[in-house]
Amino acid sequence: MAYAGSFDHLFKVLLIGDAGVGKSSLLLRFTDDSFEEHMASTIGVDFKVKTVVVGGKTAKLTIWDTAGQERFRTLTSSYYRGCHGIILVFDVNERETFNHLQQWLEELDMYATVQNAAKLLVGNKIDLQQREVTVEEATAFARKQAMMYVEVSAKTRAGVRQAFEEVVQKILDTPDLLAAASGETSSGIGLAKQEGDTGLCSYC
Amino acid sequence: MAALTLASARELLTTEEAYVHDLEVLCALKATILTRKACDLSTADAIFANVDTLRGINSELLHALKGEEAPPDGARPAELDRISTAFLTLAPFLRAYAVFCTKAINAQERLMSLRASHASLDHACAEVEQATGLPLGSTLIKPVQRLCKYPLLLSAMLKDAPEHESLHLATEAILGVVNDVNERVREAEEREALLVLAEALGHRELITPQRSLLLSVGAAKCCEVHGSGVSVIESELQRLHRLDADKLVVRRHRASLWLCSDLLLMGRPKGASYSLLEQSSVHHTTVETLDESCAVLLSCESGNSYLLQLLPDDARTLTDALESTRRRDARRNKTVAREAADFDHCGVGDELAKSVALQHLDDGFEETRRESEASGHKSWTMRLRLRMSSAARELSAGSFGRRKRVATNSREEEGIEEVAATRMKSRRCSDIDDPEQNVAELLPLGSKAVISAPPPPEEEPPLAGGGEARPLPVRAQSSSASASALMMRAKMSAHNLRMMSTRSLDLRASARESVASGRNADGVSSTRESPRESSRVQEEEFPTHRHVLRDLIRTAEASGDEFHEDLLLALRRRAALC
Repeated sequence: MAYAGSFDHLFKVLLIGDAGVGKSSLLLRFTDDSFEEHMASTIGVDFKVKTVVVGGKTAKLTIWDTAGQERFRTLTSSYYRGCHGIILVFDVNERETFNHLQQWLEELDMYATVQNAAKLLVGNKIDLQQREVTVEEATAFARKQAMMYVEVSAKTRAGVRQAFEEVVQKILDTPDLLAAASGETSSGIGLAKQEGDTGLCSYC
Repeated sequence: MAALTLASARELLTTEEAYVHDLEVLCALKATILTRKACDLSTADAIFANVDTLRGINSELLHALKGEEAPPDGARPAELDRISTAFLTLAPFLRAYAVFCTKAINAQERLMSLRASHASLDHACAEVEQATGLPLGSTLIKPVQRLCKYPLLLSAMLKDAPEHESLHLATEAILGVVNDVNERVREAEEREALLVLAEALGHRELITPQRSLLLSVGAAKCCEVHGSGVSVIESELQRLHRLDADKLVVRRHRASLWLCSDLLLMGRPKGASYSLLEQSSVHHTTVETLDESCAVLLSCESGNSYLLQLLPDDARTLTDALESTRRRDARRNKTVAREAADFDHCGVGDELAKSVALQHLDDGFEETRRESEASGHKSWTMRLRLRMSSAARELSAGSFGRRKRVATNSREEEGIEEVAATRMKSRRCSDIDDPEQNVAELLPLGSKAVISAPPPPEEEPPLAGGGEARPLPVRAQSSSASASALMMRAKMSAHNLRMMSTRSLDLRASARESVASGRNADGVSSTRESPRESSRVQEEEFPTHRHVLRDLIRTAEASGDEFHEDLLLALRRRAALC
């Protein structure tokens, strides 16, 4: 990056998923014991900053939370720009939030400007014991989409740290993403989509 | 500062303070870049947009939220009253975020490429990043995020105080503004998408003010159907299924469909661009899904038919979108026809009237919105023309009220900025009750017209021309507390219309306004003038008329908005007629 700091990489990570799946609490759980940009809260969070060390490399993460703003779709689509990692969250106790994942992936395809952003599927609230989505099912879905699947509980802390580190590792393993993180993002509007391999897409 | 008793209120205030600071950082950076001449003004505008205006508005909001002048007892009702008043007062100004958010779509990429080529710009940005510890792109997106958060913050407060009525109103107002900004940014995106498409097709004439690109769908296979009848289609369908998609992609059968607000376009890739195969009005186009593999039969206005292989989702999406677009376009045409007839009736059925009418909102707006919500379909299915705020829509019940508004539409952000600036200056002055400012708040979209309109060309009150209509303002004034507001609207609309053209229009507009206000149904019929009479009035006022037209043309030219090209053309034609 253009400015100095005690980190090797700066990555932008976005949390998406249906309302109520626990994106904010996941974020707060992860960043809580580090420094905070703003006061602790569930609404006022723009994004949180957290530095992690993965594989000997220090990565500074800006983690964005879209909680509650989904209804303003055009506006929130701008959050996707320049994203290196995406954490797709659903609630293992709410089938519906799992069913909507496909839509979230489409949204991603539409708006993400960095090609091949690292994606991670996270099943949250495993502490609740009212499971409607099995590990096998979620894993199969994730594999089909070339994602990793991790189960977590923001409440008990289980798996939270691992989830974020997984994303960082994947970004580090993807040379294109590292290049993007140093400022070489590609951009394109409107019609760029039709020039893909299949030519099958929709513009929204 | 009064101690805030509610955690949610405290959060609002703390985060607002941090946000205003972020805005200041951005403004300072913009200033630095400009003083160091790191890039030119238009580039700086493309990245930072109207961030200075936003800072002004949000400093004002912060000031109002803090309520430093208020007695420091910090009682709960006072605190919530203050917050809701602050939002109710400033909500209309928050529409200025539409400008910023529209530019934010591409600001980050633009900044990225600029920094690579301008060392001094990069240096200035790096200083800010060092100070904030954040990439500049993140700081730049904060206004978008902040706007989306206001409804959440206010809803959280409502949970703490569910009975607080003005807090309810404030929440609704903010929600309306954010929805509105969201729609306007989307419209901007759709217009830009059409622009890109028209360039790629090499058909610039496809770009018109009313048209936008709603949907793009790609077909892996495409073949033209020769002849008609079930057997023909069946054999063609078999042919389609035999086609090898992989080979055809590189040959000539691949196709793309684009649904615009009134047209369906079909093209095929030609090198880096596209060639246009078909251009068909949505009313003369049918799309029919033939089998479970989602082969669709497309019949165009030209009489040509095509078999296309789409993805299942795309086939459904296209069928639904075509249907809703057709309905919406039909509704718009009906409205236009009716209004054109209206204009004819009062003796000014000319190009100006028609072209302005063309840009009107759908009458079926509410209906469309309900449909869209009921269907719960992905957001693009209904491209609602939410160009106006709900407040303005309410005021525009009379069609003439819309005319001026359309003309001032592109200026509205500047209008808001101007009002915002005025407010900043007069914050502590007692003249805050200036009626013009009240009007501006009632009608934020028309604010430019009020604030900067030249003095009326004649001194008589708007309704003096027709003696029968004279009682209107008096009645309105005396009827109720909201009557003065109504009269203000009536006056303003009348004032705008006088700028626009003849007195006969004034009278009819006033009549409409009064119908809309529902307060003097008895005055309506008497205000109607015969067409003969109105044309006489028209002749008398030609000099003023020409002067007004010149002003309008200048305004439209200065706005530089392609959206107004039709209007401009019509105005010029009208001026030539005078």
